[in-house]
Amino acid sequence: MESKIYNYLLDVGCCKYCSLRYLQDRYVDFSNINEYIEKKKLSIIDTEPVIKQHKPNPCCLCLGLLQDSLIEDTVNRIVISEVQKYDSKVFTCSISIPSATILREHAIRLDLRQKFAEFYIDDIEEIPLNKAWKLIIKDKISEKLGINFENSDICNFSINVTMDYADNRQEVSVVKELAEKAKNGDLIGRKSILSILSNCLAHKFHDIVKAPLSIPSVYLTCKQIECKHNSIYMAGRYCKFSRELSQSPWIVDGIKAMETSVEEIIFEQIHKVFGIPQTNLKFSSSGREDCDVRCLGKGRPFYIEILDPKKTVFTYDEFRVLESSINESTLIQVRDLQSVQRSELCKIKEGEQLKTKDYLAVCVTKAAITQEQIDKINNFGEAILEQKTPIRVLHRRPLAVRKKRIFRMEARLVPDKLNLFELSLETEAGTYVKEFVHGDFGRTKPSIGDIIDDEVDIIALDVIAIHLDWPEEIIVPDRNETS
Amino acid sequence: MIQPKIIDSINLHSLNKFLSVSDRYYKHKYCVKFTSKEQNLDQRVSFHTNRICMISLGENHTVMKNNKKILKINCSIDNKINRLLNATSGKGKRGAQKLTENSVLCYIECEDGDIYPVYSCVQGKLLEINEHLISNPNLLITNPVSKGYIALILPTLNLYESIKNSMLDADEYSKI
Repeated sequence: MESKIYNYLLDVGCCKYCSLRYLQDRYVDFSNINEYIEKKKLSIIDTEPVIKQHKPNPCCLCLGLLQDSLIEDTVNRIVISEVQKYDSKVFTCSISIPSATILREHAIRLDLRQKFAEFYIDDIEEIPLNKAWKLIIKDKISEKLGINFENSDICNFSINVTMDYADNRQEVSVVKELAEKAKNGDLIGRKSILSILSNCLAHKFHDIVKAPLSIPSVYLTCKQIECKHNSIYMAGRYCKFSRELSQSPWIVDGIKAMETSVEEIIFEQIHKVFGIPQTNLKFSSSGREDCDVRCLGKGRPFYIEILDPKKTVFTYDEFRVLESSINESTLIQVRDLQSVQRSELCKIKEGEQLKTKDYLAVCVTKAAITQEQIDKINNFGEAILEQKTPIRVLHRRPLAVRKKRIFRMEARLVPDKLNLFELSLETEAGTYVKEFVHGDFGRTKPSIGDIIDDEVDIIALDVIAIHLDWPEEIIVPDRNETS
Repeated sequence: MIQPKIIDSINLHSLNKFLSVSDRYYKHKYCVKFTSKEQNLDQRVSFHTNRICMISLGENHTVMKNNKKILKINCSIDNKINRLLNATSGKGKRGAQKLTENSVLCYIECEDGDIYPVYSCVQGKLLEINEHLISNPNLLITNPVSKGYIALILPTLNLYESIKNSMLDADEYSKI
C-alpha cells in the first residue's frame, strides 16, 4: 500500500521527498532517502520496465523547495561572512514558504483520502513541509558553516530563508471563489487561506481546483536569507551626580530638551567599546529619579536589551573596560555590569514595587525653623500617607489616592541657615517624596508641612539607597565607594 | 569619585527669598471677563508647566476684597450636575465632566446671604474640586493658591495657547 501511494504521488508530479512525506513515517531519514526507499521496497522501477522516466520538474507540492537543486542553491546563497558576524556556535533555521503550497497540499490530501481511504483512516498527518526542509538542509548548512544545528526552541541564533514563487498570486487567487462570503482585502495571507479552506466543502473545492495538480512552470526562488539572534541583556547599577540630567532622552515637541541623558551616555560607550549600534539598544531601570535628583550610593539597578546581537559573550574584563570608559563621565557612574538571563528581568520590576528607598533632602521653610519643629519630625514615628497622584505628573498618570509608608524620618538643622533643614527618609516604593515634603496643596496627607505647621518646600533631593539586591554585586579591587 | 554633600550640591545664593510651591512651578494668569459693575468675579488661573490649570479667586474678587465669611461651597450646579461626583479613569481621564470656559464649577455661599458663581475659565476636563473646601471653605480666602485652590482642570490641549493668551498677566492685573 505504501508503495502504491508513493508511486502514485510520483506519478502526479511530486518529488521523492514529498511522496515520502505522505507516508506519515516520522522516522524517515530525510538526509538519505534512497536507503529508506530501498529498504521499504517502495520503488517499482526494478520490477517493471520504466514507462516514463521522470524528467525533473518542479514538484507539484513543494514547488522545488525540497529538491536537490534548490536545496543546493539555498545553501550556496548563505554568505559565510554574514553568519560569522555573529559569535554563535550553534544555529537553527527557518523557512518562509509561499502560500500556494497550502492550496496544493490541501488538494493532494483530499485526493489521497479518496483514493487510499483504507490507509488514511484518521486525518492525514504528513511530515510538514517546513520540518522536512529543515531535516534535509540542516546538515548541509552545518557542514558549510562549521557550527552545529540546534532545535529552534533552545537556539537563539537563526538563519531565516524566505522563498518567492512567481505564480503565487495567480494560483492563490482561486480562494476568492472558495470563500463562503465575499471577503474584502488581501486574501492570500496564510491565515485567511487556511480559514477559507477549513470552511470549504470537498466537492466545492474539487469543482474549482481540478485534480491532478498542474505541474508548476517555475521553481521557487530564494528571495532573502537573513540572520537573527535573540536579544541578550546586560545589567548593572548607575549613579547620577548631576541635577541637570534626565534618565532617558527628554524630547519635547520633537526637540531634545536636554543635551544628554544617563541612557545616552551609557549607549555611546557601549557603541564605542563594542561597536553595537545604539539603535539596537533598549534601556530599562528599576524606577527613575527626576532630572534634578542625584542618585548616589550603590546606585539604581538597570538593564539594557541588545537587539540582534552579533557579540553575545562578554568577559569580566570586557565589562570592566566598559565600566571605566562610561565612568570617565563626571555626570554618571556605573558598576556591577554583567550579562543576565531574560528570566531574571522580572526582578527589576518587582523591585520597583516592593523595595524601600532611602532619601536625603534639603528643605526650606517660610519662617525660621526651630529645634522644636525638628523634634516633631523626629518623634513622629512611622507615617502613613494618603497620597493623591501629584499634580506634577497628573497629566500622564491616572488620578488615584495611594497609601504609602514613611518607615523612618530624621531631620537636622543646617548650621548658619535659619530656614533650612536636612531630612533623611526611608520610604515605601512609589512614594512621591517632593509632595510628602510640601504637601501638594493638601493632596498628600500628612506632609512635612503639616507636621511642623509651616509652608515647606524641597530644594534638593538625593536617592541614597535603593534596597534591591539585583543584579549581584561584582567584586572589583580598589573601587572608590561614593557616598 | 567623591561627590559634594547635598548642602554643597546646590546654589544657596539663589535661595535668599522663599518661593512658595505655586510660585515656583505655576504661571499665574487672571480671567476678568465675568466681572460686572455690580460685582467683581475676577479669577486666577495658575498654569503648571505640565499645562494643568489650578483655579482660585483673584485678589480683587468681592469675596476676597471684603474678606467675606463663607458658609459653604455648593457644587450642585443643577439637578443633574454635582461637581463632587466627578470621577475619572486612566491617564486619559475618561469620564471626567467636560467644561467650557463659562461652566460653573461651584457657588460660594456667604454668611451674609450673597452667592457667587466660580467659573471654569478654561475649556477642558475637570480633574477635581478641592474637597478640603467642603469642610473648611474659608481656606479659599486664607490660602488661595495653595491649600485653598478651588479646582484642577486639564485644558483642551489645542486651545491651550489661546486660552492662556486671553488672560491677563499678574503685573497687568495688579495695575487694574
